[in-house]
Amino acid sequence: MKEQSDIKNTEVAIVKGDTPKETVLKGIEILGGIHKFIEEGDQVFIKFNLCLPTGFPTNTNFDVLESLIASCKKAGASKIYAGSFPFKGISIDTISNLLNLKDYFSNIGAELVFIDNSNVFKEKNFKKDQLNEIKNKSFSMVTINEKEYLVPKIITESDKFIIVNQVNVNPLFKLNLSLLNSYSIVSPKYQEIGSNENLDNDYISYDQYKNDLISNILDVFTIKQPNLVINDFFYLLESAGPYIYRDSNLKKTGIAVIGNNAVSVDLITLKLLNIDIQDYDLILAANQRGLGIIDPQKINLLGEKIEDNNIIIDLCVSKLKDINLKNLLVNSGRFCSGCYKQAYHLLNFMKTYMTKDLKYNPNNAFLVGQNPLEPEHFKNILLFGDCAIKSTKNSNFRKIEKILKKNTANQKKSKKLKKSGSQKKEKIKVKTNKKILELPGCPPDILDCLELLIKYYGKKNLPNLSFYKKILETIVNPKEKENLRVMGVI
Amino acid sequence: MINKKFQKNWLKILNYNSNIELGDKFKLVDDKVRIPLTPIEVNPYLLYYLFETLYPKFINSQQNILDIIISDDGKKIIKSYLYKTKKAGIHESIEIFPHDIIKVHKKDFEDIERFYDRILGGLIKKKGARVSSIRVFKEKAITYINQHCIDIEDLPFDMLLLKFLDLIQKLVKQDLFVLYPEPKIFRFLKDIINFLNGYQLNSLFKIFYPLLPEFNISIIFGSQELIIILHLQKIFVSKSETPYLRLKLMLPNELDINLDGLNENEIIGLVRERLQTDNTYFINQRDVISLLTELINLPVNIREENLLLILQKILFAYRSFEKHWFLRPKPIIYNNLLRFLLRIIGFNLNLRKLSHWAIPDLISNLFESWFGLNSKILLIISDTEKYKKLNLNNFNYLEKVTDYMLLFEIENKTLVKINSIAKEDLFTNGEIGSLESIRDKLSEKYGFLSSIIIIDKLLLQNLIKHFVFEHSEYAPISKIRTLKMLKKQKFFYIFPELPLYKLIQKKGTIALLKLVLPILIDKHEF
Ligand code: SF4
Repeated sequence: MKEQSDIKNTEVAIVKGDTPKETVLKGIEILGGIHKFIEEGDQVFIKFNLCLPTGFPTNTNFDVLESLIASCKKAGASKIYAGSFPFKGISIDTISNLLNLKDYFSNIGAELVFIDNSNVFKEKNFKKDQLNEIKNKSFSMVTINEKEYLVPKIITESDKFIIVNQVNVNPLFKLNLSLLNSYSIVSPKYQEIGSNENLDNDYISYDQYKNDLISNILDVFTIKQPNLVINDFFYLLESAGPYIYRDSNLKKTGIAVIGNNAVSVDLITLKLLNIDIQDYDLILAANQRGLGIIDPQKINLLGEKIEDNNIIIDLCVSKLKDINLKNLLVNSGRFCSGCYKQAYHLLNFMKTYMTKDLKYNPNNAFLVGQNPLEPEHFKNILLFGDCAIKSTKNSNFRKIEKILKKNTANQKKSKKLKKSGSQKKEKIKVKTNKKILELPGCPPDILDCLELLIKYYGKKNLPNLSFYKKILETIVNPKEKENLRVMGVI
Repeated sequence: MINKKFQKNWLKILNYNSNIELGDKFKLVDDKVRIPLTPIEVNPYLLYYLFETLYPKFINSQQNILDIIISDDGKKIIKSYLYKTKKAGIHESIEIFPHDIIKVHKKDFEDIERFYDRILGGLIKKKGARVSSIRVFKEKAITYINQHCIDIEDLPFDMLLLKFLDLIQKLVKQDLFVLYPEPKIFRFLKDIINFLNGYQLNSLFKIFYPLLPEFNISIIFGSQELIIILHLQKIFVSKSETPYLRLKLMLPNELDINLDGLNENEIIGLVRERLQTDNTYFINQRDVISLLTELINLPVNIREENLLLILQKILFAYRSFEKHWFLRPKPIIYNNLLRFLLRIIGFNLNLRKLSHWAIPDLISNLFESWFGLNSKILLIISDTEKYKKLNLNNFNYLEKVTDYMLLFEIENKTLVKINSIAKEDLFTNGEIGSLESIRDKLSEKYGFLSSIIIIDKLLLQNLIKHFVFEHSEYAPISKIRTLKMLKKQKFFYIFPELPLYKLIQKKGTIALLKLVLPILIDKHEF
């Protein structure tokens, strides 16, 4: 199962074209044609980006997928499957319905695989043991580095495995590259990183969250290494991503990088996009584990030259406060990548979809991480993550002081007294500040945070979020969520 | 050479203009001239005023213009005329210009800047005069203009518009007319025609015009200098089968209105009474000009943010009722008691608090998230009224009811292309079966089709009638009935069924309104 790709014969093509479709096909040709990767009768699994039921470039470019599927068919593939695990809490069936993907794939000669079995359990009401049976039939448990991963059998049993990755900016890894893409062959549950239950300081200092994440990504990558890897950045989502946010911009580069080794393809993509590989820990770790070469000299480079294509892109902001929301101040303490990633998405969601809500509810402070700076004179304080909640238990803002007023008769008296020069003592009462919203989790879950925001501010004060929540309800179905839980997907 | 009637009218205009001295304020005569290329008769002073106000803003703000008519092969000058203007745009005298002053080269039409410099040099040397702009027509342009002018006197305005759009398209497409320096409005027009990619401007008008309800409105364009009244009607005349569009431009005194000491509402009242219109609006000329200027300054490849900015401005202007615009009869929706009662039952309908910033924001978020930053969307405009019995179980009925199909290509939030799809190209064998097969077919040619939006003419007509023409009317039943049409597949369908579409289907219209209104209307606090 743990195949090693032939890293000594790594070939990578840099291709430029007029359309994404043409670019990818040209790349495969430069590498020797599709027959080099797919043999007659092969069962092929294409792993693509299937994150949310939204438009391009959240998911892979369907024109690229279509041309790749046509090529595989031409090469004699007996069966072509395509799939991926989406964003936590959303089933493939929901995305397929909203984008009509099942029929679309079938029309272009492939089959969309419901690797979460969501197409099965929507048909009828299964009992728990029946769901477990379905789970056992479709998944196998793979242990790597003493960690267990539930992997769809259809992927491990396929003869050939292809990754088609849409390159977008990413808050944690700068870019969504193919190594990261391969992580969603396991379900969101198995992608999760265990929480820092004791709120250990070292966990944050060493950014254990990110280290564990990198280690898990590489573990999963070794389960099934791809035969062909496509990093498509003909169009690249820059500034804010990998989902479409207010600050997102689509940059047209006209380029794709294609090869037979994911690490090398990612490396060349980084080079083209002017990102120092020393800043891309995932690739360094992959190299350490012998999963690919990070020396471009040792890669057989075909097509365009790196030095002729100097592409500058805007990456995600590196500081949460730079997301720059109106009426919301961000104070960060010490935090790890877990909270950074989730806070990044929550803040971008708020900036994109909750402008009116923020206008209606001014003076918010958003505190994240351990011991964030105390906010002063803020109406609402949002504590994001367990670290922020626990480390501020005794902070001044937790209490408010109230000066008790005298009745009018007393006040009149006191005025007279003041005039005559005497001092009156004021009575101060200390109360618990109730204008605090705790968003727990290590790191917190975005959908849970949205629920808590509505509860705290009230529907009336959040017209935007109340509306989008109703839309979200058409996507996230509680019954389906329960089934996904039993299935081991979330 | 030029159409006799056109020429006669033009000379009449020049004659009038030449009698106006700089500083003359208001010189009404008991005569009419036609707006060139149209049958619209107006007082010559009104036309003078329009030229005086609009020409410098939209065409050229300098004096003296030279018209040159050249042969179609561009080799020789056939005629040239010099208009000396005391004020920019006010043509008052015409002088046939001697040919020997200008020599024309074959490439002049392509390199108009150099041609202009040569003309300017020649003019200064030989006549000591300057021209601020040149208009070069090929002979064929004159032929087209002459054809356009035949029998236009009796044409209803809608037919005239069709002819006029056709003329513009021919002149631009066939490169028959050049203006130097090129005004932005001309560049804008050229860009639109090129952007439409062969699709006829008048075809767009043919789609849009039938969607308008019958109406009878007047718009008063106010300013310190001159108030202009526009009377616009779409009405059935005698036994006509289709309604005609009628347009009249006039001055208040033509309606026996003396403006002295009248405020906006009093002027509206009088105009409405004299013209017997359903609604009468009062808008400032300054605001209209500023909006138009912004519009023509936009690139034709419309970027979403530009479009939203324009929408923001329109909404902002709309909410400034009785500040930037006035309407009579005064809509009941602005009645405080009614609004108070509506608020009690959960509807905040204060149109003065229309959220000019949150509405564009909502549209952009919904569009970007569900259609993406790059998308191809097929818009099908159907006409289900034509057929009483339709089987809505599959989409085969589309073959019968489809009127127009337009494919919009959007790249990085910018509308880059509109393609018109011929019915024959899509419905070849009569069987469509599913919309996925349409997607499949079009994706082959144009790339992945993100969505298909089917919208029926009846729904569009109702939306335009109840939400545009009757925008501030308090007519909850007709408005809710129109919104309810959005729930019926026959009138509105989005393929694939996006979450927003599902929400519309799932939620009751009133509940949906209650959900959306707080976004559309601002709270009172700001
Ligand atoms: S609460 Fe946040 S910052 Fe703290 S350890 Fe957990 S993920 Fe990291």
